[in-house]
Amino acid sequence: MKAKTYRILYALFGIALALQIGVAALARRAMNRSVVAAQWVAHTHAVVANLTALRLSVLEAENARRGFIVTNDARQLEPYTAAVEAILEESRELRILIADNPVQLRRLDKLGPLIEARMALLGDSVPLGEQRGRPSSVDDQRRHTCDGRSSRGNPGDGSRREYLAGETSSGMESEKIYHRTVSLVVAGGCTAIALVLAVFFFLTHAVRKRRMAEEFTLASNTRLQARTQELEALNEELETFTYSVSHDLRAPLRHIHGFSKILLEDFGPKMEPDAQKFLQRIQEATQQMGRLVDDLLNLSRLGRQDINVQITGIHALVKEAIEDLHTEIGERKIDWRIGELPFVECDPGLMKQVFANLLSNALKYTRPKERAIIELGQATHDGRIEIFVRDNGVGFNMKYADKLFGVFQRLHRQEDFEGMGVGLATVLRIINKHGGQIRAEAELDKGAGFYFTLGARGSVQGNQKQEGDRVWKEAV
Amino acid sequence: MEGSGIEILLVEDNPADLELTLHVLRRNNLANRIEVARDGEEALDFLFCAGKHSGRNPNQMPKLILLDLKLPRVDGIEVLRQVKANPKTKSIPITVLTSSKEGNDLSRCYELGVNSYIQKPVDFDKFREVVKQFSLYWLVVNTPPPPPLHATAN
Repeated sequence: MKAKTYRILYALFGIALALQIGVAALARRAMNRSVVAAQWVAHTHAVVANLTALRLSVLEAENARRGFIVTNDARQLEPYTAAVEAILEESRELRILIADNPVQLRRLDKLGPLIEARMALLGDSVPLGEQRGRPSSVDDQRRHTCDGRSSRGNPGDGSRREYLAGETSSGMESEKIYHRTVSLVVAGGCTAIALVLAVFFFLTHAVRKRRMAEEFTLASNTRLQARTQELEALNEELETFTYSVSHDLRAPLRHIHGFSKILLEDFGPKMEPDAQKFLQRIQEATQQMGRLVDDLLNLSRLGRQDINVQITGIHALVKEAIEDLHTEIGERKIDWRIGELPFVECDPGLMKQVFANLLSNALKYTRPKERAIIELGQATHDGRIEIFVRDNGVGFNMKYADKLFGVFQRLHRQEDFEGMGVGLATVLRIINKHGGQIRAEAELDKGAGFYFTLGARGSVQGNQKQEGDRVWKEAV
Repeated sequence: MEGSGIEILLVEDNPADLELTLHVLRRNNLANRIEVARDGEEALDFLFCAGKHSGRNPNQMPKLILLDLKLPRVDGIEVLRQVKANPKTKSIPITVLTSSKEGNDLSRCYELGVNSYIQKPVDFDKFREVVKQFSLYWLVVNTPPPPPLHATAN
C-alpha cells in the first residue's frame, strides 16, 4: 500500500475520532447548560416559596396578634412569637437565596423596613390587650377560631416545607437524570471511540500484514533477481570453462592421435608387432577420449541451447537417423519394425539426436542376438501418446532403471559393450527440454524399450488435449 | 621474389598443429608454396606488406588463408576482421581452422565474412581428409578472384 493511502486512512480516522470527541463534548456542554437552567428554575421556585412563606408568616403573626387582642389570651402570643421568629428566619434565608441578585436585594432592603414597621405596629397593640386582661367565653371562642386560623397557618407552613422539599427532590432528580444522561453519553462516546479505535487498529494491522507480505514478495523478487544474476554469471563461467575444455583438451588429443598415426604409417613396417599394437592402443584411447570430450561438450551445450521448435515428421527423422548409422549396422541383418509415427512440434536437430542415440543403443545391445528386432512406433500410455523404441537385445535388470539416465552411468562392462554413459543422459536432457518425460521398460536378456512423451514445448500434433495443455501452460 | 607464387598463408601458433598440418599439405604436394605466420601480427604484416614483409610485392596475395583463432598478440578474429575490411585483401578466401566451435566464435566469424569454418577433428584420418579437401577445393577447384585492376596495368 502506498504512503498516500496511509495518510488518507490516518486522516479519516483522525476526523472520525475528532468528530466523536467533539459530539461528546457538545452533548456534555448542552447537558450542563440545561442543568444550570434547571437549577435556576429551582432557585427561582425556592425564592418564590420563601417569599410566599414570608408572606404567610407575616399574615400568621398578624392573625395571632389579632387573636390575642380579641381574646386577650396569653397563649395566643406563642404563635405570634413563633411567626415573628419565622419572619426573621425567612428574611435571613431570602437574603441568602437572592444574594446573587442586587436588584432583588435592594427590593428586600425596602421590604425589610416595611415588615419591621408592620411588626412594630403589631407589637404596640399587644400591651393594649394585656391591659384589658379579661378572658371571656367569646375570647375563648375567638381564640379557638384564631387557633383554627393559626392551625390553618400551620398546614400552610407544612406545604411550604413540602414544596421546598419537593423542589429539592426534583433538583436531586434532575441531577440524577443529568448524571445518568452524562454517563450514557460518556459510555456511548467511549464505546464509539473504542469501536473506531478497534476498527482502526484492525485495519492498520491488516494493512501492515499486507505490506509485510508485499515487502516479503519484493524481497523474494530481489533475491530471485540476485540469484538469476548469480546463475547467469555461473553460466558464463561454465561457458568459458567449456570453451577451454573444448579447445585445450581436444588439441593435445589431436596431436597424440596425429603423431601416433604418422608414426604407425611411416615407421610401422619397421616396428615390432607389439610396438604397432601399442601404437594402435594409443590411437584407440585418444579416439575414445575425443568422443567423450565431444559428448560432454554436446551435453553441456544442450543445457544452454534454446530449442528451435518446428513441426517435424518423426518418420522421416527416424529414416535419416537409421541412414546415419549405416557404419554401425554394417553387414548385420536388422528386422526394422517401424509403425505409425506422428508429426510433432520439436527441435528437429535435437530430436534426431534422440533417435540416433536410442537406435545406436538398440543396435549395440542386440549385437549378441542372432536376429535383431528393433521396433519404433507410438502408443497411448496413461492417456498420453508415447513414442517408443524397443529392441530384443540383452536388456537390463529393472532395479538399475533409475541409474540409466545418469551421466557416466553404465550397466554393462566396457569389454562387452563400448560406451561412455552419456548417450541416455543426453536423450533425457533433450526430452526434458521439450517438456516431456522418458521411461524405460526392460527385462534381462529379453530386450529393452524406451518410451517418451513431448510435453508443453513439443506437443504431438493433432492431440487436442496436449495442445490445450500447451496453450494453458504458456498462458500461465 | 618474396611472396610471389605463395598459395597458402598458414596462421598457426601451436608447433604440433603446425607440423601436422604441414605434414598433410606436404603429402598432398601443397607445401612448397606456403607462408607460415606464428601469430596474428605476423599474418597482418605479411598481408599488408609491413614489418619484416615491407619489401614484399603488395600485388602478390595468397590464394587461401588458413587461420587459427587462438593466437598470441593479435587473435584470429581480429586478423579476419582486418582482412575482410580492407578492399585489397577482402576477396582472399579465409578458412578458419580451429579446435573449438564453442562460444561466439562461429557466429562472429560468419558475421565478419569467413569463407569456411572447420573444427579440427581429433581423428587424424579425418583431419587429413578435411585439410586435403578444402586445400584442393580452394586451390584447384575454385576460380580465384581476378588480380586488382592496377596490378594488371603494371
